[in-house]
Amino acid sequence: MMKKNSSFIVAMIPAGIALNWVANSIVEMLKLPLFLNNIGTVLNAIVLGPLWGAATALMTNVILALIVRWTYLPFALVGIFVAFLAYFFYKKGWFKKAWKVMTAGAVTGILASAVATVISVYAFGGFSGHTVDVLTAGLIASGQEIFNAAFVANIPGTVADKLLTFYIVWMILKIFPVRFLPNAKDIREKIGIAPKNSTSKKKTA
Amino acid sequence: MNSLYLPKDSLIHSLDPRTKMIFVAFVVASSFIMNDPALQLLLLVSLFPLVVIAKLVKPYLISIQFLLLFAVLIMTVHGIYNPIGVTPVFEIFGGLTFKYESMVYASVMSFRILVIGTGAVLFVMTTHPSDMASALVKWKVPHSFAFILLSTFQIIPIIAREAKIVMEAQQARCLDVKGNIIQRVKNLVPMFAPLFIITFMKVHQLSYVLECRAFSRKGNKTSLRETNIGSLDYSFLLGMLAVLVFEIYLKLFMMGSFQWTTDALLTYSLIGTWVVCGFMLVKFLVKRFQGKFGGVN
Repeated sequence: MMKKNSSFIVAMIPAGIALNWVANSIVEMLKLPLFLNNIGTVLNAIVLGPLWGAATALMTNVILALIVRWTYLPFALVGIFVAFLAYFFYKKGWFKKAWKVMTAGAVTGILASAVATVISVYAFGGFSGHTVDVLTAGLIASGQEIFNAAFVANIPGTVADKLLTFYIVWMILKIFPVRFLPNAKDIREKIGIAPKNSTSKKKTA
Repeated sequence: MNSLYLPKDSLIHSLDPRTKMIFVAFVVASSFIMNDPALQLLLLVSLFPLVVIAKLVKPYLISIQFLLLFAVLIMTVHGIYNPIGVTPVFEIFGGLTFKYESMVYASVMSFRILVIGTGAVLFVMTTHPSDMASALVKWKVPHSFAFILLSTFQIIPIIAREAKIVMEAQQARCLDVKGNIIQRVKNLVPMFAPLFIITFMKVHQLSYVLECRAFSRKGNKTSLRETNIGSLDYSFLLGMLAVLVFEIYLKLFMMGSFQWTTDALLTYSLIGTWVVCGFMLVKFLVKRFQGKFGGVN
């Protein structure tokens, strides 16, 4: 894969990073309280493989640290984790039905917010640099422990976010034109579009 | 998207990017070696002359604002509520007491954020992204990795422009962006599907172009921008090494003999961050006020 499509991969990772970045502006324009900042990571993890998805996540946070502020850098671990989980669920065949995709997204969201909480507690005392911090501070003030407060404040947003990320990537891969994907046959099989169509076509042709 | 690089003519700008990367690593290491609020404050103050030398005072202050917000949150919340605190230092209204141990913990954490932020800003604002990439290649990092880092800066504006075009086109096709929340969530798919397809088309184009320029060929690749390590870099590196040795010496042998972290220092640093934060808030509000009533600018 690497040898055959190396320049495709090298071009796809920046595109994934750009998608992670641009998703924010689309969400902002629709005025939704989400980030969707893992959409390119999940896409790359499914299309290129888990390692390249992880590379996308790492590079996204490196770029964010270079452009915005360095506090994004430790959260690269969350993205890497999401990339591996997305590939795992995809490989296990959880991307076939809508409710399975959503469950996978929710599970990923819970685990990812646990990882994010651990990072934010050890590096930044439970804060992460988003507006959720106000909620965290309020929960700590109301007598919660710091870890619990950060986890509870993080979990609803992250779960909704990852759930929608998985769902959107799945929806779009379903309607994707085959000629653009490098391993379209495999993806179509895993995503639940039966390859019957293509085989019958081949027989007739 | 040009990272935060600001082209200026200064001593720090003319340093080799590798030296500056080592400098960032040095700042991170020393912020962990000196886990004491007083010493970290000293480090923060001693980094400021470098910012002045790099002629970056104003952009530095702008970019450090958000990190200060972090520091205020951490110091206030942890100072009052962190369970490791025992000895009360002072009390504010409503019976909330700041405790010594938790204040030390919080100020170490927030000063570390500020110190690393200063080092990172010094590095990012004085280094051109392609210099960064060529320095990475000189450190035997795979060439494709450096290319990914560099091309991202160029690809983000392209995709952002495409996203804008897609959004406007879908709105022209009566996509409702002001419906209820479920409708808007459903709208995400018609927004993202064309964007994904456009991205894939661009990626294919880019990979063809890369192949045309013999990207996957083995061998040395030359760079347009050359970086060299000169005598200035060596003196800078030697200075850093000296400071690092001094820090370790201080940490190992001198720690018990003096105590700079007093209640007064902690209190004043806390109040100082509050004052700066309040000043920022006032400035922000004034700007909003002016914008609302069509002020001077």
